[in-house]
Amino acid sequence: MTSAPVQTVAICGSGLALWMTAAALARSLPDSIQVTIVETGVNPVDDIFYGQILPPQAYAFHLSIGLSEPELLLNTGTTFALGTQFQSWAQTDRSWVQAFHQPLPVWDGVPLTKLIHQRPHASLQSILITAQAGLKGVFAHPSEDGAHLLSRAEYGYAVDPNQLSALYKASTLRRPIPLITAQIVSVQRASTGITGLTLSDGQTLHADLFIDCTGPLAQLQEKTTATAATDRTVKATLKQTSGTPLGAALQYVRSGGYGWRSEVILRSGARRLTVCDANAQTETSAGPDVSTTLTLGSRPEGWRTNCIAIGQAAYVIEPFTTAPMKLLLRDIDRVLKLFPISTDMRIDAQEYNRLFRDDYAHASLFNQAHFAMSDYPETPYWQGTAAHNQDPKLVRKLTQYESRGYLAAYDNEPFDDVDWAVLHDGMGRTPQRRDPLAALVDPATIDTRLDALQNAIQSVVKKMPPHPIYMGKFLSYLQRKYTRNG
Amino acid sequence: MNDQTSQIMSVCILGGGTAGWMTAAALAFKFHDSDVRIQIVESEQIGTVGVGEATLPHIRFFNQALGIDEAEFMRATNATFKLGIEFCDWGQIGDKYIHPFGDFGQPIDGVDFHHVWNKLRRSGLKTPLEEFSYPIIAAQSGRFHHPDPDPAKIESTFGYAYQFDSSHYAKFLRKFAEDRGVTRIEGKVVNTVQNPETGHVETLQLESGETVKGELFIDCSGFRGLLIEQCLKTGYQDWSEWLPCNRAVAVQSATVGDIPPYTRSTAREAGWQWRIPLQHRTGNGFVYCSDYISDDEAREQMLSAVEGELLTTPKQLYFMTGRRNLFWNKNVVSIGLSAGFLEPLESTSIHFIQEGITALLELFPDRSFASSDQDEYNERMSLNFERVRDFLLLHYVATERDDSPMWRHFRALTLPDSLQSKIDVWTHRGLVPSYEFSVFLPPSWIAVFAGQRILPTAEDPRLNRLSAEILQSETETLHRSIQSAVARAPAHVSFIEKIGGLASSARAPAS
Repeated sequence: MTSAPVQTVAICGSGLALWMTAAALARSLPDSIQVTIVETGVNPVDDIFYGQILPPQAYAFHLSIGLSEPELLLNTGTTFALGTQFQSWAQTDRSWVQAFHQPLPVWDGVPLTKLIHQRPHASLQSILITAQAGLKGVFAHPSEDGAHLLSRAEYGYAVDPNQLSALYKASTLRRPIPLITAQIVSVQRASTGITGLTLSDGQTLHADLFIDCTGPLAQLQEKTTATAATDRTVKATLKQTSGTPLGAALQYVRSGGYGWRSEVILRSGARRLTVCDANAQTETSAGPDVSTTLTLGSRPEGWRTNCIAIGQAAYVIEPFTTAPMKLLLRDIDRVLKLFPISTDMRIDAQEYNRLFRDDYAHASLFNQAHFAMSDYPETPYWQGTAAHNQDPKLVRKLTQYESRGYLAAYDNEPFDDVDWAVLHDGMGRTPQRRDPLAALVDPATIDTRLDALQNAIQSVVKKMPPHPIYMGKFLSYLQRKYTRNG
Repeated sequence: MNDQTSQIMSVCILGGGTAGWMTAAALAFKFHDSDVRIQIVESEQIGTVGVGEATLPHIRFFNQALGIDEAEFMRATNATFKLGIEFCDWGQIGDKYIHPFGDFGQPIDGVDFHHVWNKLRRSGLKTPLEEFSYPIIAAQSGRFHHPDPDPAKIESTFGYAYQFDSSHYAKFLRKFAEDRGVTRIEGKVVNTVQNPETGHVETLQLESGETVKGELFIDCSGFRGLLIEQCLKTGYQDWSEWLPCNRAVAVQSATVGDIPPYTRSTAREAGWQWRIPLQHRTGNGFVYCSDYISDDEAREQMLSAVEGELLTTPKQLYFMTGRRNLFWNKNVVSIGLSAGFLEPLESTSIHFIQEGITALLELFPDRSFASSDQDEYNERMSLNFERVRDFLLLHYVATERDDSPMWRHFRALTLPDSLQSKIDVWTHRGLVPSYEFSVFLPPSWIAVFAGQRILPTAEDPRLNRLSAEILQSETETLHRSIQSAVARAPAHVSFIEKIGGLASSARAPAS
C-alpha cells in the first residue's frame, strides 16, 4: 500500500511537554519535514505535576538536543539531585533515600541485594554512595574511573519546569521554525484523523501529523472515545519562596494525612509541591502560588490516527517519584524512533501504543508500590490509593521480593532493579526467607566485605564538598570559562 | 527466616546427558563447600540424544562461571569456534546468508546501520548487508580470533560460540562434577515413589533394587520426562501447529576440506539439514516433518547431501515441538528435552538447558517449596520458549519458496500476533521491536529478515538529515575496514592450535 510521505507536523500545546518535544523533533527531523509549533499558553499550571526532579536519563536527552550541562546550569536555577528522601512516608516511621545509582555488584555469584538481607546489621542504604552523599549534604560529579566508588553514582537535577521550558524553547527556536501563538478553537476531523485546526487568530492549520502537548485537557483528542481511564482526583499546590540557601542534593518527600509534599531548593529559591485528595480540606498556608486539580490515569492509546498525545495529554501520574518525567522522556524517544514514514501510520501507531502501554503500566507499578501496605492512614487520600494493589504484575513483584528478595522484572521497565530494591527496602519489606544460595556464602566474609565497602563509601563521602559549595565553585568556573570563550 | 533445617540437603538429577551433567556441574560448583548432597542417576543402557552440538555465545558465560579453561574444554570436546549459522536455500532456492553473532556496521548519527544500507540499496547499492558484518566476512574467509577488547575497533564487533561433541562435553563436565563431590549412580529407574499427601517425588527405585532418595529432583531424562511427565502427568503443549517438523535423522561424517567456523543449515522440501564441523568429524542431520516425507526418503536425502565418508550409521529421532505445561512441578524441575523441544535451527537446545540452570539457581527452593519460586521459574521459562518459537517460525515464513507441500503449508499459516507485528514493523520501516528478555536481539532478526528477502520499504526518516554522499562514504569506509581487518585475521584452525585447543584426535591444520 502506498501513501504520501509525512511532510508537515504540527506540535501544539504549552509548557514542558511542548518544548521538550519540539526541541527533540527540531533537532532530529530532516529539513524535508516542515514543523510548525502552536503555543497555546505559557507556563501552564499543570506543569507543576511533572514534578521537580529530572532523572539521570535527562542527561542523554540533553545531549541529543545539543544542550550541555553548563548551559542548563547557567540559564536556569537548576541544582543537582542524587535522589529523593522519603520522610515518614505514609505516616509511618519509614524514611529512606530513593537514590539514583548504577546497578549493584554481584558477589560470589549472588546479587548484593540478596546478600544484604542476611546481615542484620547491614543496610542497603549504607552501600549506596548517592544515598550517603545525599544524607551528608555533599556532592561531586560521578567519577569516570571505573574503579572509583563514585563511578557507581548517578545524578539528576532539581528543576523548575517553567525554567526548563524556556530553555528548551530557546534551544528549539535557534532553528527557523514557525511559531504560532494562538488558541485552538476547533479541531476538524475525518475518518483518517485530524484534517485541520482552527486557531484563535483565524487561520486554519493543516498537517499530516499532529502532536498533542496540551496537557490534561488533551485538546486534540477525540472526546467520544478517548476518555482517560480515570482513577483518583487530586489537588496539587505549588508554593515558591526565594532566598532559601541551598542544602543537600536531594528532594524531600514528606507525607501527611492529606497526602504528600515535596520540597526542593533551586538556586532561584525553594519549591514546595503539596498533593492531596481533591475533596479534602487543604491546609492553606498564606497564599499558595499556584494550584490545580487533576484526575490521575491514562488513555488507552497514546497515538490515535494521525495524532500523538505526549505527557499529560496521554496520562497523569503522581510526581512523588520521577515517573512523570521518565514517561515524558520515553514518549519523546518513542516518537523519534517511530516517527511516521507516511500518512498511513497504522503500523507505527500500533507499535508505539504497545510500548506506551508497557511504559505507563510499569511506571505505575513503581508508584503504586509506594502504596502497597497493610495499613493506610484513614484519610481520603491514603484510602484512595489502595485500589490498584491487586494488579497481577505488582503482586508478582511484591510476592517475589517478600518471599526471597528476588526482583521479578518486565521488559524495559522505566525503573530498574536498583530502584526497586531501594524502594522495597525503604518500604520496610523484608524477604521471609534467606535465598538458599546467598546462605551458602560465608557470613563472616560478607560482613568483612560489607564493612570495607561501607567504610570506603564513608571516606569518599567525607572528602566530597557540600553541595552548595560544589555548585558555587562549579558555576563560577563555568562563568569564567563561558565569558572567556564569549 | 529459615535456618539449617529448611535447607534442601539432597538433590537428585535423573539422566546423564548434556542436560544432566551441565546441571550437575553447575550445582556442584555452587554447593561445593556445603553439605548439600548431589546425586545423578544415569543408565549406560539408555543412549543420550546428544542434542545441539552447536551453541550460542552464552555458553561461554556458563563455562567461565565454572572457571573452565577454554583450551582445555576445546581439546576435551573437539570444539571449533562458531561465528554464526549459514542458511542455504531458505528465502529461495540458491540463496544463502549467515546469521552472525554480531551487529551489522555501526550506527551513523544515532541511526542503526541497516537503515543506511537499506536506503542505499533502494537507490541501487548492490553490496549485500552481510558484507557490513565483520563476523560474517571472517566466517566466509574461514578466519577466527577472539574479539578485540578495544570497542573502537571493528575486530571487537562480534561474539562467538562453539561447535563441539556434546557427548564429550557431558564427559568433561562429569569429571568436573565428580571432582566436586557429585555422586554418580549407575542404574535404570523402574519405579518412582511419591509422597501420598504432597505428591512430591521421594524415591527412585532402580532395576538393581537400589533406591535413591532426594528432596529436589531435576528431570534430565530426555523426551520421555520420566518424572515430570510419566510420574507427575504435567502435560505438554503441542506447538506443531507452528513448527510441524517432528523427526530427525543424524549421522557423522569425515570432514572434507577446511573446518569452517560456522554451522550450516540448508532448507529442503520437507525440512532442513544441518552440518556442524568439529575438529575430528562433521555432524549432519536432517530435521523433517513426517507428513511430507517418509523416514527412508529422509535418510536418503540426507545421505546424498553428506560430503565426507560416513563414520556412523544414521540414527533416528522422534519429537514433538512444544513445551511442558509446567517446567517445574511440585519438587521436580525439568531441564533439557524433558522441559520442551524446539528444533535446533538456531542452536537453542543447550541454551535452554543453560537458561533452566540459571533460573533454578536464582530461584533455588528450600524445603518449604514456596509456590512463588515455582511460579516465577515457570513464567521465566515460558517467555524464553515463546520468544524463541517466534524467531524459529520466522525462518519458515520469511520465504518465497512454494515448491513443496511443506512450504505451501507455511505460506498459508496464520502467524502468532507477536510475530506478525514484528514482521509488519520491519517491513514498514526497518525497525525490529526489541524485548529485554529475549535471547535473539534485533541484529539476529535483521540477519534473517534481510537474508530471506524480507526487506523494509522505508527507513528511519531521521536518516534524511544526512546527504547521500556522506552515507555513501561512511559505508565504503566501513566496508574497506572490514575487508582489511579480516585479511589480517588468522585461519580458524591455526587459531585453535595457537591457543592450545587442538585435540590430539583432530586433523592437523593444512598449513
